[in-house]
Amino acid sequence: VEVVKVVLVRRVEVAGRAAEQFVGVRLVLDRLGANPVFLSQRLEGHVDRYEIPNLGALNFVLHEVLDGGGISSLRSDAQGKALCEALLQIDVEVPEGVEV
Amino acid sequence: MTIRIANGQGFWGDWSEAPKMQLRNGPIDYLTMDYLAEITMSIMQKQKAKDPDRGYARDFIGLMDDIMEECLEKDVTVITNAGGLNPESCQQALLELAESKGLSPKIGMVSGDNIIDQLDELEEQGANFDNYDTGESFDKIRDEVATANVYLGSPPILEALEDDADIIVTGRCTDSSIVIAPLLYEYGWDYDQHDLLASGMIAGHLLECGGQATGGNYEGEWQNIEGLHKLGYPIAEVDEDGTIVITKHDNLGGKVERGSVMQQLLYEVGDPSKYIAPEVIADITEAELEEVGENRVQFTGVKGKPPTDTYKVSMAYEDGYKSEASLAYAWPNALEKAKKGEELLRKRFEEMDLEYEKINFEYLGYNGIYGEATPNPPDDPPEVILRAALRGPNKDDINRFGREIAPLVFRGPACATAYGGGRPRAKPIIQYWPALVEKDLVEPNVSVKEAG
Repeated sequence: VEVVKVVLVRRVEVAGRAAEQFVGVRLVLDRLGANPVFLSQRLEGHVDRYEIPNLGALNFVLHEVLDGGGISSLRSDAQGKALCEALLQIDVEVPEGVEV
Repeated sequence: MTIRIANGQGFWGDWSEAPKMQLRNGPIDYLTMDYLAEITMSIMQKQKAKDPDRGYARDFIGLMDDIMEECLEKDVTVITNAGGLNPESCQQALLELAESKGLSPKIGMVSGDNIIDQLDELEEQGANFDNYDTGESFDKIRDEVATANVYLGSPPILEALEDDADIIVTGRCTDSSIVIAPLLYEYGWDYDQHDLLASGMIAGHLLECGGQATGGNYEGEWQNIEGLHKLGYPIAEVDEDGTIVITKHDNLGGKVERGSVMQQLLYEVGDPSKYIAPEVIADITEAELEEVGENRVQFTGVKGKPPTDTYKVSMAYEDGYKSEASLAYAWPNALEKAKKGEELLRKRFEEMDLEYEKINFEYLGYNGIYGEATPNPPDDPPEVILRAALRGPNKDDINRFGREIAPLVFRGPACATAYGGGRPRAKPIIQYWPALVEKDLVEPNVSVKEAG
């Protein structure tokens, strides 16, 4: 019922240009696994992550993150539109030798 | 030959100028419009309960009043799910409109998606409407179901095109079916050409949210996007080999670039290797996305696999009530005042024995959206909006909440200004219940009638 999509376009585009640069992007995923504050307040389910290296894209599906769904949610951001921006603000440590 | 399919509407209530601009600013072959979000059907159901001739997107009739003649002159075929819960009446209204204008288009109508009156019968035939997301038993909502609609695919729309329909209205169908059908019609693709079907499906998906593919709601460098006030909605140019180019009319605003198209590509997609439509299961993990000109993004390499033997069903049911209210507090000490307001309200609700399932307070302008994770919240914000929202099973209690808000202006912390109009009222919560049904249990209906 509660699935929200997070699309990392800009950062992935920058970081995902070449195969080895995709490593840099994976760090974002590890951070997400570590449950940053923003998500830890809201996320009640699990996170599925899908990698599309061909497109330099990552696709996160966050389960049970909308307080019961866009209609019943009591939040002002009922549909989780701001989740995406929050994720994009996470700092990424880029390993040596990876250009971004 | 390249077919140009335009989108003119991403949801019911989207920008009414967009379809006209698609028609008037350059060549298109098809004008498609999506009017139905998950919740839309339950709104239409209420309209239909009051008046059996309603229950579809009336806005579409107003739009056709403006552009029907132009569409016919330019040979632009219109396909839309504006029929909602009452495609028959929508078709009738279009026929009457055409006659009043002295026009004689063929109006196609697709129905059969609405299974609300057949649920028992379908269950007897083996259908199981358990929630496919959560696995919950259908018994939980069986007696509460307000609407139940199958997401039909492209075959009945194709049938209407083969009957030379100029305008086609459907009930619930997939967002992509209104784009796949014209491609099958124009190119003679077959339902066993899965890669082509998958390309058509992705073209439909890239169009379905209107301006979101052409620079609207864009996480990229949105500051640099020009002409959002006259945003060009997306156009998919699809070749016979399934190559897609997403573009827009040159003289309209917005930006079609890799990022804007990518954002829409992944919007509402789960597993990108298994994106399911009635016609096909699409896989975009091997696809290539390339900028091939100004405001032109090409998409190739979409793979398709044979479809499942089920349709998705979308049901809606009422599940309690909710209400929300806001008060704005002015500087100085705006945050402190807002917190005092919350404290006061919480005590009141306790004394009133207010029954509710959940309540949520936010300090908008301070940390309302990001909560604890808000970067650098100010110590003494110039103003704060205290927003309270609650939900529960009992309508009276939710309305009692609403009556406690405005009095805070006089009896609470200083300088509160009532924010938003009127006393908040309990609104029903319409929940969404996704299920599946075997395709061979559902029979779409197609009717094409000539006006005049």
